[in-house]
Amino acid sequence: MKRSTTFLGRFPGRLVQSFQRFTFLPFVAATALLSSSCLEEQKADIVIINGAEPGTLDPAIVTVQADARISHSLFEGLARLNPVDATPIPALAEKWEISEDAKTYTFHLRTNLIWSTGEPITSKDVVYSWIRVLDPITASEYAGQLFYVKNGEEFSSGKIKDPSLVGIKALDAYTLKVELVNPTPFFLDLCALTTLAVVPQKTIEKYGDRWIMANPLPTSGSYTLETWRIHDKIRLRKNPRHWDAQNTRNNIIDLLPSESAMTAMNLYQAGQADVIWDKNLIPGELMDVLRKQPDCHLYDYLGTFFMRFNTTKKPFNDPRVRKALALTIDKQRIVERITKSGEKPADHFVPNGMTIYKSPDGYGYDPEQARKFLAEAGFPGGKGFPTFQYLFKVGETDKQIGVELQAMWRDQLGINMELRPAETKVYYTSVTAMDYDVARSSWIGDYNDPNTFLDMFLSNGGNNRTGWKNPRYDDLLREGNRQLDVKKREQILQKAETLLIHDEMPIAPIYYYAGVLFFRTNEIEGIYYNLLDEHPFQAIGRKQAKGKL
Amino acid sequence: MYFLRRILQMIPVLLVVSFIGFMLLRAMPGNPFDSERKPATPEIERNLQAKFHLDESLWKQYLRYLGVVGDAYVNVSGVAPAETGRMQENDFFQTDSQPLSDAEKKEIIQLADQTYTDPAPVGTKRVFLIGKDSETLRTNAPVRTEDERVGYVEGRLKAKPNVAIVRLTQPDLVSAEVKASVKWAKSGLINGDLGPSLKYRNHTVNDIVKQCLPVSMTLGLLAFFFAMATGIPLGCYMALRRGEWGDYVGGFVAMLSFCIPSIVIAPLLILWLAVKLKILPIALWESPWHAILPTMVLGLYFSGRIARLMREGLSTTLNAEFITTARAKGVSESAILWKHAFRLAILPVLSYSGPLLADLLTGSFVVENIFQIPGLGVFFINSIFNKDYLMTVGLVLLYALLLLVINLLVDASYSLLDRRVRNE
Repeated sequence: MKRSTTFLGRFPGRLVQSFQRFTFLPFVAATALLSSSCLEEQKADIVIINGAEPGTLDPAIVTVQADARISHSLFEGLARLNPVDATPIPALAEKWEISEDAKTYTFHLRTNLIWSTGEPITSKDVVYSWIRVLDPITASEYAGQLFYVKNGEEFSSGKIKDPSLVGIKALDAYTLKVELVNPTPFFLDLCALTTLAVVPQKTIEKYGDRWIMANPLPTSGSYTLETWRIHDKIRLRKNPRHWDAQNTRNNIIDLLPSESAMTAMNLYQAGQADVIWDKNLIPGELMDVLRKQPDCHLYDYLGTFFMRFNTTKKPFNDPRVRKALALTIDKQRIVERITKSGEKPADHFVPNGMTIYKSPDGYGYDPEQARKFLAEAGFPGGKGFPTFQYLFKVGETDKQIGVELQAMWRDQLGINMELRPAETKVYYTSVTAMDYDVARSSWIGDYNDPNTFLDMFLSNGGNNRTGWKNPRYDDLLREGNRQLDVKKREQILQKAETLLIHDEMPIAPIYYYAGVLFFRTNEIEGIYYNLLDEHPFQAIGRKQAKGKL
Repeated sequence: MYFLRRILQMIPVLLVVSFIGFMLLRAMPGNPFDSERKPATPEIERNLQAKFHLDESLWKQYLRYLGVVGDAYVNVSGVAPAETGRMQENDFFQTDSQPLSDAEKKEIIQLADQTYTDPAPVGTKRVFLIGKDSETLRTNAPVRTEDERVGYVEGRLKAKPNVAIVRLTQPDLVSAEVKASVKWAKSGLINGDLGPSLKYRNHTVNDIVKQCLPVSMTLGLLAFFFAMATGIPLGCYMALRRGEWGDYVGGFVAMLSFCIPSIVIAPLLILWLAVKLKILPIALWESPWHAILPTMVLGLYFSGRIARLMREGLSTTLNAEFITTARAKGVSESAILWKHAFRLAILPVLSYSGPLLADLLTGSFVVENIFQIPGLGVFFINSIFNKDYLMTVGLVLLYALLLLVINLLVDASYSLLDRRVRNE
C-alpha cells in the first residue's frame, strides 16, 4: 500500500549509480548537466509552488487552503467551483431541484460516473462521504459545514447514534434527497466545498488514516495521485475516467512544497516553476519591486485582518473603550507602509464583493471621536488606563503592525500597550482560552455569502473567542438565514453586522487581504482572480504557441 | 564483552532520553489542534484528543508511547457477526484462553441491552470483544487482523468495562468459518513504532523517517566526506608550515569557513554559481548535480573546524618525544609523518567526527530549507512549532541512537589507531 517504495528508485540510490559512472569530477559541469537531465522523470505540464508540505489530503480532515486545492482536484463533490468566478456549478450531480420552502434539495447524479479505478460512483458513496464528515469518530474540524442538514449537528455531537436519521438519503443509485433544517441560501456553495467531496469507502475502511497512500487510490475528481513524496513533490496525473476528462487541460501537474520564499522565487525566476500561489512564498521585502512585474497578479478575495478585544476583561468590557481603540487605527497607513500588496483598509467585517450582500458603514480613522469615546468611558486623555498587551503571532508583518498600533495608541490616546508575541500554536491556544487583552486575528471566507463571516460571532460560536454575547445578534442572524427573499435577508444581516462593527465593536476590522499570484502571464492561462482565491487545476493550461511569439 | 556491555547500556540511555523528551515536550504551551478555526462542536474536539490519546494522563501516554500500555492485545479468535440489530449469543470475539460459559454470555447480552438501547442500524455488524484488561478497549480503537482494519471499538459495557462492542466495517474479512485470528496492532517504541504524526495525518512518523532519512543521510555523508577531504589536508599543511605565512593564511581560511553561517554562504553561492553562472541547479533534489551546492555549504563549516583540530593534533604530535627519537634514529621525514605522527594526530578529529556525523546524518534545517531538500532536518524544527509531540520525540530518539552507535564505532576505531588504548 505504501507509495514510498517508488522513492527507492529516486535520487539517493541514483546518486551512487551515477557517481560510479562519472569519474569523480563534479565540477566539469557542462557535460554532466546534460547527462543528469536524462535521469530525470517525465516533465510535468505545469509546476506549481503550492505552500508548505500538506498536512493531509483527506477532504474531511483538510483545513489549510493550499492542501484543500490539491485534495479537491482528487475528490469532487456534487458541485464544484466555476474557475472564473468561483460560483457553484454542477459536478458529480448533473442537476438539482429545490423545493418551494427551500428546505429539500434533490440531486440527480450523472449516470456515467466512475472512480479512477473503474467502479461506478453512486449516491451511496455520497451518503457515505457526508456521514463520514459528520461522524464523531472522523473528528472532522469542518463538520460544521453539514450542520445545516437535518440532524447533522445531533449526529455529530453524539446525541443520536443512527446515521440513517440524518437528512441525506439515497432514493436510488443516482438520486439523492437532502433535507435541511432551515432554508440555507448558500447550500450549493457548501456542496462545492472540499469537505463534502466524495471519497472511496472501501479504501478508507481498509487502510484507516493512511488511506490516501493506498495504491491504487480511487479518486472521483479530475486527477489521480501519482506520487506523494514528503517535502519533495506531489505529482497529479489526469484522471481519464473523470466525467469531464476531455476538458482537463493538462496531463501532469507537479506541486512543490516550499517554505523558503527566496528559494521559491529563485525557482520561479529560473523557469523551474510556472506558478507561485502562496503569499508567504513571495518575499515581502521585495514586494515593492515584484508588484511592478507583469507576472505579479494582485486581486481581492474574501479575507479580513482584524482585531479581537477580550470583552470579558476590564476595561475592554466597555464598548466605548473598544471603539476608542478601533478609531485610532490608521488603516491606510498600515496597508501602505507595511503590507504593501494591494490590501484595502477595512471599515466593516464582511469584505466587499459578495454577490448578494453589501456591508453597512462602519467607523473609519477618527482620532478626535476616539478621544471623546475614551473620555466618556472614564479615561480622559488616557489617564488611569491600564497598560495592556497586544497578542500576535511571531512574524515580521505582524510585528510591524503591532509596533505601528503601539505608536498610534500612545500618540493619539495616551495609553500604553505592550507587544506580546507568541509562536503560532501558543497564540491560538491563548486566544481560545481568552488569555489576552487585544489580539490580532484573521478570517478567510469559505463561500460567497456573508454568513461565513457573521456566524463566527454567535454567542455560543466556537470561533467567537471574544466573550461577546448578544442575543439580538443571534436572533437577527437566525432570522436572516431563514429569510428566502434576498433583499430582505440582506437588510437583516446588515442590522446584525452594524451591531458588530458600529454599535458594540467586539472586533476592529483593519484591512481586507489581497491575493497574490505569480505566474507567467504570457504562457499560462486558466488562472482567474476570484473572491474565494480558488483556482481549479483542470482549467489551468499553457497558451498555444501562437500566443507566445 | 566490552562492546556488548556498551550496546546494553544504550537501552537505559534511550529510555531516559525518550522520557525526558516526552515530558518536556508535553510541558510546552500550545496544543497541536488549536488553529484559526475551532472544531464545530466540543465533541469533535474531544474525539480529536481521544484519537491521539492526548486526553489520558501523561504517565499513561508515555507508557503507551513505549508500547507497554496500549493496543497490543493479541489473539482473539472465533467470530460471528450479528445480522440483526440486537446482539446475540454468537456475537463474541472470544479469547482462546478464556472460553465463556453460556450463562456469562447471556449476562453480557443483557448488560449490552441496557447500555445500548438503540438497535444498530440495519446492515451494520457489531460483535463483543472481551479484553484482558479494560484499558486496551478504548472507544474508537481500531480492531485489525494481521494487516487490515476490520472495525473499531464503539463503546464499552458500563457494568463490565472489559467487554467492548466492536463495530465491524469489514465483516466479511472476519468470519466464523475462517476463524481468523484477530489482534490489535502492535504499537509503541518496543515494536519499533514511533507512532502517528499529529500534523501529517496521512503519514506515521515511521513513514516520514523512512522517506526522509535516506535523503538526509546521503547529503550528510557527502558533506562529511567533503569536510574531511578539505579539512584534513588543510590542517596537515598548516601544521607542517607552523609559524610561517602558509599557516596564517590557512588559519584565516579555516576561521572564515566556520564563522560565516550557512544561512549567509548558501544564498551567496546560489547567486554566484546557480543564478549568475548557471552551472549548478538552484534547489531541489533530483540529480547528483543538485547535491553539490548543499554538500559544500553543509561541509564548509565543519571543514574549518577539522582543519584546526588536525593542525593542533599534528603539531603536538610532531613535538612529542618519540618523534624526536625517530628523527634521531634517522627515519625519513615522510615516514615519520605518515607512519608515526598521523595516526596519533588524527585522534582529536576522530573523536570530534562522532557527534559531527550524527549531526550531519539527521539533516540540517537551514540547508534543507534553502535548497528545498526533502530531508529530516526540516521536521526537527517544524515539529516543535507544530506541537507534533510524537514526531519530535521520535526524531530526538533517532538522533540519540545514531549518536550512541557512531560513538561506539569511534571508540572501536580508537583502539585500532592507537595501540595504547584498550577497550576494557
